[in-house]
Amino acid sequence: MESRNVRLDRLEKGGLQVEGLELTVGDIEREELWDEPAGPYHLPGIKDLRRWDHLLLGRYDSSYEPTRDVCDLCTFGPCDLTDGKKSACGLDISGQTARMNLLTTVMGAAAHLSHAREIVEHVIEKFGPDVEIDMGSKNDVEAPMVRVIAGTIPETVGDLLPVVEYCEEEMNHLTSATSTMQEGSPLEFDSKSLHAGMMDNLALEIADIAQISAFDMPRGDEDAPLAEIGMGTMDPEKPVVLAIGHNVAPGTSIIDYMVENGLEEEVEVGAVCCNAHDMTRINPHVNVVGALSKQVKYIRTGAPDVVVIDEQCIRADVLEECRKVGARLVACSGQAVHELQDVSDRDPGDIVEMMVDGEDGVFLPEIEKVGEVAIETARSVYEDRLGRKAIPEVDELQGIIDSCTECGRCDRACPEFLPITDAMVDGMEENGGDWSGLEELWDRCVGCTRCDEVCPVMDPMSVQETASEHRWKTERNVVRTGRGPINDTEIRNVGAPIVLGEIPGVVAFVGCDNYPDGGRSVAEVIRDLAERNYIVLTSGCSAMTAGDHTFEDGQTVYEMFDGRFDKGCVSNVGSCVANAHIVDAALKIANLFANVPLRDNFEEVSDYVLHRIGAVGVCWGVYHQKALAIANGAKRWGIPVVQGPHGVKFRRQELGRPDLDERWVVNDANRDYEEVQIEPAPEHLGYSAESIEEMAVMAVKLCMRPNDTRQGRMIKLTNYIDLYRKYFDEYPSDLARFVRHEKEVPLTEREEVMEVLEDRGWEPRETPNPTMLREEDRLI
Amino acid sequence: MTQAHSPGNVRVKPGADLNGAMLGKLLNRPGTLFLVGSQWKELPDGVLEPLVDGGDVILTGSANPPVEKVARMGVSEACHLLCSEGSLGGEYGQVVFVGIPHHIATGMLSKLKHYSDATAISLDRGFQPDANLAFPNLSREDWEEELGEAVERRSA
Repeated sequence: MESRNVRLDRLEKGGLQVEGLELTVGDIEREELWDEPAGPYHLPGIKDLRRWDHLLLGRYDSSYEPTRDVCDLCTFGPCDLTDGKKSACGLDISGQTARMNLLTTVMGAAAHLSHAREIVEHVIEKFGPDVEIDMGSKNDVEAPMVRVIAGTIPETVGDLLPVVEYCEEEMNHLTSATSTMQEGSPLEFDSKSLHAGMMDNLALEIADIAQISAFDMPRGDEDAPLAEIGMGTMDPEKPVVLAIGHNVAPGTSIIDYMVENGLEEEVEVGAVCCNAHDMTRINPHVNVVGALSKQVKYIRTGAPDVVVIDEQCIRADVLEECRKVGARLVACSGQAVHELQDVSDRDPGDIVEMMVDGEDGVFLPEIEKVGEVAIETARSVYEDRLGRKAIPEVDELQGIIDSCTECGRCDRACPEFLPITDAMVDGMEENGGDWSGLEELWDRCVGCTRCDEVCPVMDPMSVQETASEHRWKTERNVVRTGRGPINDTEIRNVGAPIVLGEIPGVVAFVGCDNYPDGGRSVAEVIRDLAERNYIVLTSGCSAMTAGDHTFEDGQTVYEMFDGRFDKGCVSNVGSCVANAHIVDAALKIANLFANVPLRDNFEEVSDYVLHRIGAVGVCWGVYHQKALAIANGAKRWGIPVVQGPHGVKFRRQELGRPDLDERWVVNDANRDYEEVQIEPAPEHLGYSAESIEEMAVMAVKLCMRPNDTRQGRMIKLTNYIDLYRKYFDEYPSDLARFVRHEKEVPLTEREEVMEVLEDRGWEPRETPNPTMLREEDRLI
Repeated sequence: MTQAHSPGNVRVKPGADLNGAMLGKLLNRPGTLFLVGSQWKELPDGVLEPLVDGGDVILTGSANPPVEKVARMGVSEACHLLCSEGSLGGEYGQVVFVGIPHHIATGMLSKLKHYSDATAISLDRGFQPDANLAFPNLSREDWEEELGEAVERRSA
C-alpha cells in the first residue's frame, strides 16, 4: 500500500495561516511499526538536495574535459565555444560540458529506470502485486535506498510502483533541464547530474529487489555457487540459445521451458553481459559466455542458433551479425526492436515454423512465449547451422594475413589503440608467420569491430579470432554467481572495523569491460587487494572479467577467496542492477552500526558515508552511460569512484585540491561543531587514472577517511605506502598529509618515514568526529 | 588532412603538424613542463632524457623513467592544477605530453585548450587535434625518426 506525504511550506486562506504543515496519508500501520525518526528529505525533488551537492562540489572541483568545441543541439547552432565564447543561447563551454554530462547521466539512468519499471510490471503481471519483498532471513533492512529517499518500507513488489513513478517524474524534470535555454550554471548542471545518479541507484535497487523476490534469486548467499564462464563453456554440437542484454524476464522464460521439458542435457543455454549474471542467479547451470566484448566474437563463431535480445548493451547491428551465421534473432523489448515483425498474437508453434522456414528474426514482447520459441527454433535449425561461421577457416588465414596493406587504419580506429598492424606484419608468411601477436590481441580486444569498418581488405577482428581459435574453444573458467544483498548480519560483523579503519577498505569493481589493455590486470589487482584484507566486491562485466583469468594454480579469484562480505573475500553481487547492494552496504553500515536513521535522511546518511566508510568504486572499463549514472549516484552518497582512462570522455571529474587547506575544514561533532582541519580524505570524488597501477594506488588512497582510528590509519597507510613503493618505487610524496600521529606510521618503517616527514615540517593532529553538516541538520 | 583518432572534436583553429625540426626548437623555450606518462617506454631508447633536458618534469601514472622530476601526480591532477591560477596555472608557457595514453591525453589536451593559456604539444605518435602542435599519424619508424631529429636539433 502506498503512503504519501503532503507538505505545505506556507498556506494563507481567509483567516487561516499555516507554515510547515506535513501530513502523512495512508499506510499508518506500517509507519507506526517503523519507529525511526524521519529526516527532512522525503522524495527529494530536483532542487531539494542542492545544499548537499554544493557542499560536495565546493570541496571537489568539477574538472571539465570537453569532447566537443561546439554545441549543435538547437538550430541557433552549431555554436563555437572556444576561447571563452558563449553559444547563441548564452551557455559557455563549462555549462555545455556540464550539460552534456547531465544528458549522458540521464541516458544511463533512464536505461536502468525503464528496466526497473519493466521488471516490476512483469512481476506484477505474472504473480500479482502482493509478491512479498523478501531479502532473506538475514536482512531486515530490505531496501535501504527506498527507505532513505522514499521514506517507506516496501512490503510487496506493488509497493515499489509509487517509487518508480517518483523516479520517472524526477527524470522528466532532469531531462527538461538539459533543453536549450533552461539551466545556465555549470554547478547546477552538476548538481542535477548527481540527482540523476541518485535516481539511477534507486532504480537499480528497485529492479533487483523485485527480481530477487519474484524469481527466488540468492538472498545474500555468502557461498553462492560457481558458474562456468568462457566461450568454450557451451557445446556447439547441440542446439544453442544465446541471451544478450540485461532484463532477465525472457531469460526466466527460457530457463523455465528448458527445465519443465527436461531439456537441460539436450540444449545449451548461455548469455552475454548482465543477463548471464541474472540467469545464473536463477539457474547456475546456465553458461556465462562472457562480458560485453564477447558479444560479436561469440556470434561470429556460428555457435548460436537463436539469439534472444532484451534491452541494454545490445549491438545495433546484432541482426546483421546474426544473418552472417544464420542465427535467428528474437527481440523481446520495445527498446530494441530492429524493424522485426511483431508476432505477439501468434502461437509459439507458428513462430517457430516461421523461423525454421527462413524468417531471420521476430519481435516477441510476450515474454511467456519466448522460452518455447527460442528453444524449439534452436532444436529445429541447429543441424543445418553446424559448420557455418563468420570467421575465416584456419587454412585460409595465412593468405588473408598476407594481404594486409599495412596502412595502419585499424590501429587508429581501435578504441584501445592496439597494435593490430604490427601483429599482422609479424603474422605474415614472409616474416615467419608468427600469429602469437594476433592471439594476444584477441584477449585485449574489446570486440567493437571498428577495425573491420576501416580495413580495406579483411575483418581484422575475425582474423584475430581464427588465429586464437584453440584458446577460445577451450575457454572455461568460473565466476561466482551473484549473491544479491550484503546481509545485515555481515554488516554487524564488519561495521566497526570498517568505520574504525581496521579493515582497510571496501573496493568494488563495477561496470563495463572497455579496458585499455585487457582484463587480466583487473583480476590481478582484485587478487592483490583481497590478499591485503580489503573487502572486494564485483559486479557486471567486471565480475566476469575477474572470473575470466586464472593464476598460477589454475584458480580464479572466486576459487581463491571466500564469497562473504568480510576482509580478504571477493564477492560478486550480480548484474548491473545488483550494484545497488554495494551502495546499500554503506547505508546499512551507517544504519546498523552507527544508528543513523535512514528514513528521509539523505544528507546525514551521505555525510556519514563520506567521512567514515572507506568504500571506493572502481570502473576500470567504463564505456556505457549507465556506468556514469551509477558512478554519479555513488558520488552523491559519498562513495568516490576511480575510472579508467576512457572515463574522461564523460567530460567531468570531481577533483579535490589537497594543496588548499580551506577545502578540508569540517565541523567536529565532539567539540560543539567547532571547525577543524582534516586531511584530504577522500582526496577525490571522481577520478580517471591513466594506468592500472595508478588506479590501484588511488583506490587504496581513497579508502582513507578522516574518522579512521590511529590503528586503522596505520593499516591503510601501510597498504598505501606499500603499493606506492611497489608501483612507483618511492615513498608517497603526500604522506605527511595523511599521517596525523606518529603511531599511524607503520612500525617497520616508522623511523625512516618520520625522518622524511619531519624534513617536510610535519606536525601531529587530532582525530575529529567529522561532518560537513550543522548540529541542527542531524538526527543523531 | 590529418585524421583524429577521436573524431568528435573539431579543430576550430587548425594548427600546423609537428615535425622533428620544429620540436627541437620549441623544446628550448624556457618555462616548459613535461608531463611524462606510463607509456614512456614506447619512446626509442635514449630519447627521453635529452628531450626533457632543461625543462621541469612531472611523472604521471606509473611512469618511472630515469629523469629528474619536480613532482609525481596523476595527469588529471596535473592538468587541473595547470588550469588553476595560483597553482601550476600561469607558471608554464608550454606543456609537453610524453607517453601519456592517447585517450586520457585527448581529454587533458582539450581541458588545457579551453582553460589554460599554455601552449600544449603532444609527442604522441597518433594525431591529437586538441594540442596546439601534434605529430600527424605516423608509423613507428617515422615517429622515431622525427623524435631523433628533435634530439639532434636540441643538441646542435
